[in-house]
Amino acid sequence: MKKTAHLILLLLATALMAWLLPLLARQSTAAPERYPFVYYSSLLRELCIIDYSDDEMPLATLSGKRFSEAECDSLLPLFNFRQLLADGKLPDAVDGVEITPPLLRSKTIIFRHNPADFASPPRRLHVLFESMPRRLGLEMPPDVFRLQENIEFIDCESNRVNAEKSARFQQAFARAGYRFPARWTTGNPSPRKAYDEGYFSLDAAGKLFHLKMVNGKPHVRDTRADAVAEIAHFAPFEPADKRFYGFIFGRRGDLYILEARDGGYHPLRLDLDSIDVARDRLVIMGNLLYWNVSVTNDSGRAYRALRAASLQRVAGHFEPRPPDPWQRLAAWIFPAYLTLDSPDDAYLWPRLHHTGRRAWAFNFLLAAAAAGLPGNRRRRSFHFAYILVAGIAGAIALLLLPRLTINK
Amino acid sequence: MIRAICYKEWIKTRRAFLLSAILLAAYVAYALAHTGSLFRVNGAVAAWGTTILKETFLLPSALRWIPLATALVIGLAQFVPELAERRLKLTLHLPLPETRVLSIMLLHGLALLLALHLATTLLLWLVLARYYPAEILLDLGWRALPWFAAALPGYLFAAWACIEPSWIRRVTNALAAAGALSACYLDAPAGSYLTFLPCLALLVAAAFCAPFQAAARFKEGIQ
Repeated sequence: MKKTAHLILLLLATALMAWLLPLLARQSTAAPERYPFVYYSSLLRELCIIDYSDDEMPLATLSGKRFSEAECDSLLPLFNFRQLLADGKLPDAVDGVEITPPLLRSKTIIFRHNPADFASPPRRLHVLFESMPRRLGLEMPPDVFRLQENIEFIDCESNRVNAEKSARFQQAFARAGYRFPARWTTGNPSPRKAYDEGYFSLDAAGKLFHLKMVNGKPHVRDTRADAVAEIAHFAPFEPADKRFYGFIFGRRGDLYILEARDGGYHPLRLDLDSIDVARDRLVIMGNLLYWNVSVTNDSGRAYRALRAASLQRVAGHFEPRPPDPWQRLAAWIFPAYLTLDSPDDAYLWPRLHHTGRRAWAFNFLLAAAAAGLPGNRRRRSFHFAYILVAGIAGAIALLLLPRLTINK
Repeated sequence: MIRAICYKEWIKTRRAFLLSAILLAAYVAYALAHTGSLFRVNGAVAAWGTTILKETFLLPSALRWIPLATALVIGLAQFVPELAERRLKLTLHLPLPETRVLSIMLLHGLALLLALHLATTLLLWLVLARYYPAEILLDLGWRALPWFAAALPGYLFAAWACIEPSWIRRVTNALAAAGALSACYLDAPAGSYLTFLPCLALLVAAAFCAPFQAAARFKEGIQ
């Protein structure tokens, strides 16, 4: 029992150190990602790099031409329109398209997606706002709903199911052809937005349905988006111009917007390379004429400019991942280490990372040093082998625990 | 013999058990008063809305530490007298294998903790079910689970530090225990610990072995 207990504690202490030491090292070497800010110029017709730390010449094209701050404002009128407006320099038209500040504001979108947005524990209760409120602004409804085997509204005051409202919505689901149970339901439940488009839910048959409440009545529609894409996820988004409902992530890495046209739903594909929703971080900055898309993963960041109307690609650029102090340190000191959390999902479990071969040399030096310490041969051999495998985490675990008196 | 050991452990821990029960009951009463005032002042819609939209923890935050505090109180009450008066030496020389004697002692403490924490969870559920639907209570349960789970290794680590005969090792044991328990206090949304449950079980199993290592050193007379 004594030996078993000692061994189990040694393994526990090693696992603990393999988690805590890299965590400390990572926090002490933390640095922001140094990717350049890239934006498509509708006048130069190419992607430009904006470096705000350079007061003199903040704008540079990918071909190397540099521009001053005033030129930067004028060359990126759709990005800097607020500054141009304040300076009285906003042009009447850009690229032949007449522009006004309200139009530019309504066409400006910023959408961010992180892998953890989808890989996280699902919400089981949802708040359905009135989509056509009598007064400006959205108000919290007196009930919340659950949508799994059926739809049920629960009154907050009484904490009981509102049977009448639940039945009304259940009938609307049946009329729309929704097949229970729901696979998932997603919405953007915040009262701090201009309008509400309710929820999107994938039914048991893989069809995407739109649910909202209009004048207190259920509005349930089959978007028929499954005819175009095999739907994996949906990220609701409510742009100011009400052009689309959100982003459809297909199972094959394809990305669409679900456009609202002619009272119907029309998926329109973004001309991008395949997106891995489990790994890739996505940022879309759209304006009246072009959407700037960046897709970041472990290898680097891909920048794409798409024409806003057709979402067809007009330019692209790739920046390899800049050197990260933590990665460099880990490559020398921690051949393998543990993390409990991950930027790619919201779940906690031990993940073993392997950094490369170089750090095994460090393990060998550490193990050789430990083997050189005084002590009996059997113990030194064990320490050498253990530190060779477990590295600095194993060495500290051996120091933390008392020596096992084997011969007694 | 086993009943006698259990009785001896009960004599040592009954005051700590009562103190822990009072602490947990006070927390439940406070949680009830807090929830009641939340509903009276802000209204049910705001209370539900905040919980669902902002995913805020709906109980007073002291719940993070109370299960661990009860574990330490029971652990210290059970093992400090053994060490202070060197009674552990006698206990380990009873006509029973020392592994069995120590297992009974530890299982006694774990049973007390489980009884206290299960009763608290049940009471909280019954009290809060008047205010919140099952989904919100389940999320609350997922949030609180690692804090209650931390109590079990917390108790075992307290026993480990108490039994350890060397003061320096006691400090290193306490540091290692704090590091291990910190895995139960990570900021994460409700349900994130679902995938960590096997690790929590392994942590409890590993922590159960720790007092045996210290007891072996104690028996060897290491100072």
